[in-house]
Amino acid sequence: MSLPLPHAEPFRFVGEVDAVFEDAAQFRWTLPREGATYGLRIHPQLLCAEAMAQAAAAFHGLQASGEPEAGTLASLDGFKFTGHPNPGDTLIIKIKRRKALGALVLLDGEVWVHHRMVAQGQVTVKRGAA
Amino acid sequence: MADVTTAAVVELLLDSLNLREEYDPEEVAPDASLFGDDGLGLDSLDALQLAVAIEERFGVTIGEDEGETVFQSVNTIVAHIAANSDS
Repeated sequence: MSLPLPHAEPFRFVGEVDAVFEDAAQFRWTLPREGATYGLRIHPQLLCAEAMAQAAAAFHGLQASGEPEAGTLASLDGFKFTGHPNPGDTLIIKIKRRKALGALVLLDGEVWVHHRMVAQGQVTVKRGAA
Repeated sequence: MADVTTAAVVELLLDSLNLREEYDPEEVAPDASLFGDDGLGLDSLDALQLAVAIEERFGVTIGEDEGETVFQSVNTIVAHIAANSDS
């Protein structure tokens, strides 16, 4: 299944779709064994947050009937990190639609690695083009 | 009708949006606009967070297209909760 995301390698952090339901979806992405932080001092938790935001965007796009619906990231809130991924790990990214109001859609997200949740937070997407 | 009070909604509004340091409850006029510089200055993200908090606290859903109607003021929120509560 092709993902409705504008991100291209190496900045695409959602690789595959495991499942898509009406109000939830699960994606996965395997970190490269080398170069996952692009030589920068990036906390690995940041990769989880970005993966969650991209998964939310992909889910939002997949929910639309017909042509993928445009959307923009409106906010990231309430993030908690209880672990971090290592190079070569596969992230399981779970997204669940919680509430929609007007043009905004609030989604709950979780990132799991080796059957352990390492990050959770909320992503808000604004429907329509920026 | 549910026994929802203006004070309870004001408390929920200030707590859920972390506005305690900016406003005392008595400063929030029930008929004041929630949006814009003349009111509390809330935005659409605040409204979404408040909608979630209202659903959790009062068990009352705010529909996708009801935001502009419900979030005019504290009074309109109270009226919506009262009109849509089971008890």
